Amino acid sequence: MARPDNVRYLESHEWGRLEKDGTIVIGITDFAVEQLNDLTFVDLPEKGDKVTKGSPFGEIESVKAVSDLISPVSGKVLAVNDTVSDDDFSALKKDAFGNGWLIKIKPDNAKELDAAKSKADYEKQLAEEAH
Amino acid sequence: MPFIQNTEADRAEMLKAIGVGSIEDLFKDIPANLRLKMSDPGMLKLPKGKGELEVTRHIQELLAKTKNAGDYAYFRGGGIYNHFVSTLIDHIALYDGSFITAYTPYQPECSQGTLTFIYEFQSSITALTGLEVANASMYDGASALAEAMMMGKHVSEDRHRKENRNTFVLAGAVNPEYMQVCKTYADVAGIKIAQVAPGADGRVDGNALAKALTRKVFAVAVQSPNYLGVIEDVEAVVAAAKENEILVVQAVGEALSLALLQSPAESGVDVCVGEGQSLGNHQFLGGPAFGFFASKKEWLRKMPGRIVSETKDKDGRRAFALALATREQHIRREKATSNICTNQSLCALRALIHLAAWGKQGFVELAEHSVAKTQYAIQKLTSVPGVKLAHTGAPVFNEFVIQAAPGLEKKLLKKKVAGGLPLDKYGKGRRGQYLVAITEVTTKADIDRYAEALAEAMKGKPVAV
Amino acid sequence: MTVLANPAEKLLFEVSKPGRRCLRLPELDVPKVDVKVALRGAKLRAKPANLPEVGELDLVRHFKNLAQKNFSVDRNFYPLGSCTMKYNPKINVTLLSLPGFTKAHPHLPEADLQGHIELMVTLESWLSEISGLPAVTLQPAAGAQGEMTGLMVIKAYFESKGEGKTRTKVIIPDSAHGTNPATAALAGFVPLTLKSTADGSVDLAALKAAIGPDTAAMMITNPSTLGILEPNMVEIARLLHAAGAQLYMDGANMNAIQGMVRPGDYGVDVMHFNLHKTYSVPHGAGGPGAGPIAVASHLEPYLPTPRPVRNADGSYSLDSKRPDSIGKVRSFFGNYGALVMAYIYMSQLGREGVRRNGENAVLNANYLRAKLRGVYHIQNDKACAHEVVFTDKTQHEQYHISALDIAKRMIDYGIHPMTIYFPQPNVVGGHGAMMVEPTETESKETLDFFVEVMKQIAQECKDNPEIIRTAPHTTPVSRVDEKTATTNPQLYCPMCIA
Repeated sequence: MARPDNVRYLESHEWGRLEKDGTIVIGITDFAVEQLNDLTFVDLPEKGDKVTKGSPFGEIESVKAVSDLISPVSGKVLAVNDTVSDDDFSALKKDAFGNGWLIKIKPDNAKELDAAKSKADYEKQLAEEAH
Repeated sequence: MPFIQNTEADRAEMLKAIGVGSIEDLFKDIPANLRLKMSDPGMLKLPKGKGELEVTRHIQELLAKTKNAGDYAYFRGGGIYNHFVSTLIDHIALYDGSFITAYTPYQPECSQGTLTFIYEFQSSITALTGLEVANASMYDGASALAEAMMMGKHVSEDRHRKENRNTFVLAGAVNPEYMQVCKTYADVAGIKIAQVAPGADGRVDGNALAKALTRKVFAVAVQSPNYLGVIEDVEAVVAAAKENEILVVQAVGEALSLALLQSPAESGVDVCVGEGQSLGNHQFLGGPAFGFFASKKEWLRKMPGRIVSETKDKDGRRAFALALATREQHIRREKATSNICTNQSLCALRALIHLAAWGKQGFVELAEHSVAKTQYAIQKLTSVPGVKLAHTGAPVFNEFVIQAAPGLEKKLLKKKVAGGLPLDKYGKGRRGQYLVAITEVTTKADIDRYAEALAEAMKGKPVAV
Repeated sequence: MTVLANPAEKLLFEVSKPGRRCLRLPELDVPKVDVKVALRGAKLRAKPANLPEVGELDLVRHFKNLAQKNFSVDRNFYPLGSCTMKYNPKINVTLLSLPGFTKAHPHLPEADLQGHIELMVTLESWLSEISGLPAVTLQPAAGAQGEMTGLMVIKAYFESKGEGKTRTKVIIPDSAHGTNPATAALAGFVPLTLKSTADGSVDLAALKAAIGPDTAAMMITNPSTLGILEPNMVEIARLLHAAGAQLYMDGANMNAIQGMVRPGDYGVDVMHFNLHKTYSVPHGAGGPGAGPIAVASHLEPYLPTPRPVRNADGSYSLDSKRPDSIGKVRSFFGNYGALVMAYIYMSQLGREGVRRNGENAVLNANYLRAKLRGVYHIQNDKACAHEVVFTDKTQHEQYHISALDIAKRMIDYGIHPMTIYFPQPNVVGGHGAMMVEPTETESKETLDFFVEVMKQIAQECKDNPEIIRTAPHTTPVSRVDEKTATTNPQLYCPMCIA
């Protein structure tokens, strides 16, 4: 899958995309989805909850692993993607950067997203981890 | 050397293959000055090893310095009960190495034996409690209650997100061993424990309970039958907890009571924990037996302990496997809701064999015998002048408290009667009270002997009114 | 062909038939009562619990059939890393079955328990001698509870010094078992992960940076879960003590160093034993075990009660009057039956046996390391302790065969799989770990057989990878769908609530 250039990446495999309306959409990368393999459970925040840059906003589990979902920016949750659920991870598997998004937030400071990695840096990280 | 099969020649060959001169060369990361010198008899002061004959003699000598429940007409319970244990259980669980020398069933393909019996055990606990989710067992009843407390806290953190509820209520007469273990765990977890004392009839005082169940409380536990043997109105506790969305935990000290009493699910509790020793496990001075832990399905993901689920193999055959492992510490690490790694599988297996060997009818009969003998014992003991029931007006199952006189214990022991457990230390105003336990093992002759010895011991004591 | 269903293959609930039973009671020797009358005022259950009803022969066959579906130490080499699956002597269970133990009730008067208290006092003294720490409690029911008890004791100690509020952190190496951080968190501390060095030992520079006035303790597993002896134990203890903190040693792998070094001599303040590993209490398909802890003298006042003690006159008693104690962590005396088995086992080992066990455990593990070097990748190829950690690097890179596949194939050869994917990939170069712990009780012939099997499996990875990926082929069930067990759990037989 071609990873988009218009999103920023975290070392912990989340991505964030600044929308035209100033909101930020957050998800996890195709690499993370592949690594977690057999997804079984996802725990996402509720609309209105606050999220903090660098802190977990939820959890995602496979049969034998559990991972925190880390937010690239601080802000307030505006929407949660309810097509991604314990019963249905197909959107996440097929389209991690599109229909498989997880939450949409109103950032306190959208500039925080700049601290995350570019696609090139993220892919460099993946290449290093493979060795 | 005992249990080691490597010969000197083997060892030499193996060292050669490894490429070192001596075994000690493999321990070079331990500073030389800290390595114990076996040539110095002052180091590692342990006795010489004994062979099977010698160790058998030694154990017999130690046991000669003990007495056990079988040496008396025995009337003590208080959490561990002198029940009959079928020989079937030891044959399957103890003497056949297939279960006892296996490990936790991490590899389902070569552990279907263990996984199947755990699934059947869970099913038995569901049959007894009516609750849909039972785990593979816990250490004991006391720590199962402490785990239920911790779980209640986690449930509340989700359910009442901004309330910071921090109080755990122990309602009525809870086994002091359970209370102490909860307190130890609560201390480090920063949980406050509030106790509601039992009323005059031995049951939870409803008014006091209603006052205690504020929105600061995340869970309330009630033991039934309680430590005084009295059967609680668990439904009333559930009703009292409802308004403030407080998790209700029922603790069961005598699992046999589940044969007759309203099931925890019928009473409406969220969680039921208990001590399983009564189900086919020996007394062993209090352990090992096991704790059971069952819950409404709602709280499944917050539950501690191992859980086995039915599933299929890749060819579509029925198979069993550990499920929901991501709740557990080996995966969740510091975010786990419990640090427990194991269960008490072998003790759970014993319980399963016990329950199946007695079966649906037999298990009820066991309980009915206990009830009949208990009624006889109450009548017999309270007909001794100066002796009466400490709590009246509420039903008891197979334990009850008599009010007699202090200091009777030794006199009874001399007559080969281990009478009820003195309750002096359990609470204020309990001097001269004894907690009497009856099981199917207790005979009419035992009870008669107790009554006779009690009458003798009570001579000249002030008569209770 | 029609598949014929053997009743012994069914669940007890499925073969149940009303009226069948195994056991019966003697005739009631007291007047019969009507339960509804006797329990007046109590709510009774609507109908009896739906327990299975089976005859004795079918019950025995059911369990013997299950027995055949289990690998066990009695039947199979079981090199499950970090679990110490050694032989369990039969005399342990025979003696444990004596009525003096089976009918030992915890509320018997102290005078009747003299032999039991003596046993506990003696067992404590042996564990004290082996740990080099003066005081021991036998109460914790398992290793995890030992850890919890140890951290509770440390917490109580700091509270008594007025440092309870400030010492909030527990340092834990990244190679540790998940129980360590879980315990630390549940004991009210904040766990702090410490990255290990490339060879798997503690990074002293990182440790120095991590230690501060808020450090309560460090939890260290030695030998570590990577199967290696920590070379800097003395320095680690010194650094912690200089900052006023405590050193906790997870003794899960004590089997390797018993009789060779005493953790107290390193400067360890608290450690736990796993009697079901080191001292041969049978693992029981997951328990019961026992997790006693040994502590330095400054921590002794905080140990759980009651404490078994020997009096000046040679009698024994149970001391509950200890005002600084943390209280109880388990009812009564812990898993006393497990303690008895450890006692019987240690009585047979004696001084020489304790030392020999450690030596041979390490010898056997290193022998496997030497014999399988080059066949399977080893991240840290240096002298190991009780276990050797291989990885699936070679097989994964060349044939896309994982540690899991290799483990499953071992079953076809009658060997229980080793521990896989632990330690976590981040401490073994990102590969799937395969942790092999042979223990001291295996013979060289068994080890040689294992080596041949592992070589053959490596060859199969090359010649016939499909047979590995679809293994096992000889078991009652093929690969089990563990995902469905989690996403769609079925936790009881529907008939139990019919």
